[in-house]
Formats: sequence, C-alpha cells, structure tokens
Amino acid sequence: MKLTDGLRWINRAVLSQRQRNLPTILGFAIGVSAVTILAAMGDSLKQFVLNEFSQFGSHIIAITSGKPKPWAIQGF
Amino acid sequence: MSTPLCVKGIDLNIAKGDYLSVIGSSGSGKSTFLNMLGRSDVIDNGEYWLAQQPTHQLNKEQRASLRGKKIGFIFQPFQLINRLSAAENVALPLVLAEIAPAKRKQMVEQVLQQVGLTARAQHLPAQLSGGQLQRVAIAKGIVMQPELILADEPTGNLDQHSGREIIESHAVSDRQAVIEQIYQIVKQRHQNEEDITIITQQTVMQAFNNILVILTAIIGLLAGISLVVAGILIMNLSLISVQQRCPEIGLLKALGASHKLIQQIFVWESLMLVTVASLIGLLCAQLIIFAANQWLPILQFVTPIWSHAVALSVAILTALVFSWLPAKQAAIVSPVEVLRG
Repeated sequence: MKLTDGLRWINRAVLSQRQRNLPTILGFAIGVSAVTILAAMGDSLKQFVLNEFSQFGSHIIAITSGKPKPWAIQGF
Repeated sequence: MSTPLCVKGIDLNIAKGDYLSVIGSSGSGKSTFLNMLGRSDVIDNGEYWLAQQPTHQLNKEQRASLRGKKIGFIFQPFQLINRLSAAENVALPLVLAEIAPAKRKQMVEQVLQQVGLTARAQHLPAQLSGGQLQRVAIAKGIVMQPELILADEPTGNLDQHSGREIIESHAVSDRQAVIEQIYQIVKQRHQNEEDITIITQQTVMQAFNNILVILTAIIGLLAGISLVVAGILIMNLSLISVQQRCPEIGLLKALGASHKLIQQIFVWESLMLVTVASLIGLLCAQLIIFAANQWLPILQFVTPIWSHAVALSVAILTALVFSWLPAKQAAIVSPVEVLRG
C-alpha cells in the first residue's frame, strides 16, 4: 500500500468511528492543554513571586531565634 | 592662566566592603574624582589613605605600582587591546603584576566564569558584542582582587539582567562576611546563644525555590498519571476497534496485506488521533492563556515553545507505546477464520 493510500485509509477509518473517537480526542486535548497551562502557570508564578520579593531590595536582614530546620529556610 | 579647580572639599571614609555610587550631572567631576581615587590624576591638596597606607605623597612609580596591585579599574570606554583575546586582555593586570602563568590562567578562568564569558575566552574584542566587551572590561578590573574597584558607569552597556548579576557577584562575598559579623555580634550579646537564624533575601528566595521544586514535581507527577490514563484510553479504544474490525482485517490480509502493514495501519490510526487531539489541546491552551492574560495582566502567563514540543512528542510517544499491543493483536488475526465466520 502506498503512503497516500494508507493515509486515506486511516483517515476514513478514524472518521467512520467518529462517535467513539470524539471522546478520546476530547480527553487527550483536555489533558494536553491542562499540562501546557500548568507549565505556563508554574513559570509565570515563579516570575511573579520573584518580582514581589525583589521589591524589598536585598538589604533587609531578619534575625530570629532558633535554628532553621533542614528543608525549611536554609538560613545561616 | 591658572588651571581650573575641578574637585574640592571632599571628605569621606569608605569602609572595606562598601559599595559607593557617585552621582552627578555631566561635567561635574565624577570621572576626575574617580581618577583621583585611582591615583592616576594629581591630588593638589589633602590626604588620601588607601588600606592604611598614605598615598597622597607617592611618586609616579609608586603610584603605578599601587594602581596595579590595589586598585581595579573598569573604564567607561572599554580600553581593551584589539589583537589580544578576551582572556589575554583580562590577564593583562596579572602579567604586569608578574604572576606566574599557571596561576594566571587559573585566575583568569575563574573571573571569566564569574562574568559568564568562559565560552568566549579565546575571542578577539572585534568578535564580541558591546555587552560582552563590557564584561571583559569588568573581569579585567576585578581579576587582581583589588582593595578598591573603580568603575565609571560599569554596567551602562549591559542589559539590566547581566548588570544586576555583576553587581551581585561583587556583593555576594561581602554579604556573607556581613552576615558572619552579625551572627557573631548577636551571639555575643545573647550569652553565646547559638540558636540564631539570620534570614536575608537570598535565604527567602532559597526557601521559595524549594517550594517551587516540590510544586514542579507534583505537576510532573500529575502529568505522568494523566499520561498513563490517556495511554490506557487509547489502548482500550484500539482493542475494541480491532475486535470490531476483524472482518476488515481479514479481508485486507486475504488480499495480500502483510502483518507489518496491518500493524502499521493500527499504530498510525492512534498516532493520527493523538496528534489531532494534541494540536487541538495546544490550541485550546493557547486560547485560555491568551484569555487569562487579558483578565489577569499581573500574572502574564508565558508558554515556552519547548513545552509545546514536549507535550506533543510525549503524547505521540504514548500513542505509539500503547497502540503497540492492539496493533499486534490485529496483525495476528487469521484471515481464514475471519472470512469463514
């Protein structure tokens, strides 16, 4: 079978089972878009928070009692 | 004719680690003042002590030696030698200070890394951009680890980002020293209490980054799970499809279709389905992000192009993997049995 014939065959096969294929397409589309949006959100959220933090400037130092816990704030 | 008085009445102390900016309108004597501090300009009157040494009475030779050893210059025009590579230009102060070649090489590499120019070390100035030239000039100014760094608009030619980076790379070690000092002071005043946390912007950022790592991992995990679910969906669909289309497969086989072709047809079907679905998904994502940016301009979502590529290729890979089994099943359908039934 030639490639073009094959493609036509597949195309018709997919189209002929529209009812069954549509939900699959829908599910996949939602999944892919959700992941993409989440990735975009993560990135811009990071930028947003970094900007918020940099507003304080780098000359503020806070001193508190008690040792920091590991994986909390890695203070001095 | 008398020489005009350029700068007068300056009285200031600069402590070690201080970061001092001189601001003034054009022609007000900023550069002259810097040159006086750098001892390349004459001081007519007054005293100037650098690192506990009086420097106002030094002769030309002594001043040159002081400039070489204690003062780093970052000139406003870059002042690089065109036939020397970036690394050689940076090494110039070290050559003049007669530092051994091996040590020299190491110091140059270190400082070039600091300004992010390791990859361009062997390039000639003519082959570098304005910002890169500026960074070479900065590297040259700080390579001797001088007591005093004089910079005439050092980051003027840099984009904002690398400008901040350079300033911070200067400041990082100083900041560490300051924090150490604060720690010691607080400790002494609180009866040698050692349980002290000192939080700077950096530590806050670090904490935030930790949170982000966890968030990213969670998102990744969710994406992975949804991927497996989607894959199973595709597999299920294909399996049903194979069952329903047994006669069709049998016919194709009877007409001379090979195992391989049948397998290929089923795999390609899933691929087509998934590709169409993914493209629709990406389009939807783009639309939603566009809408979100209109509604919430403060967050400004950006979809990096790689995320599209990754989503698409991962979806296609899933389709490939999960349609393999159904395709194989389709391929082993016996034409004889099917057509007889």
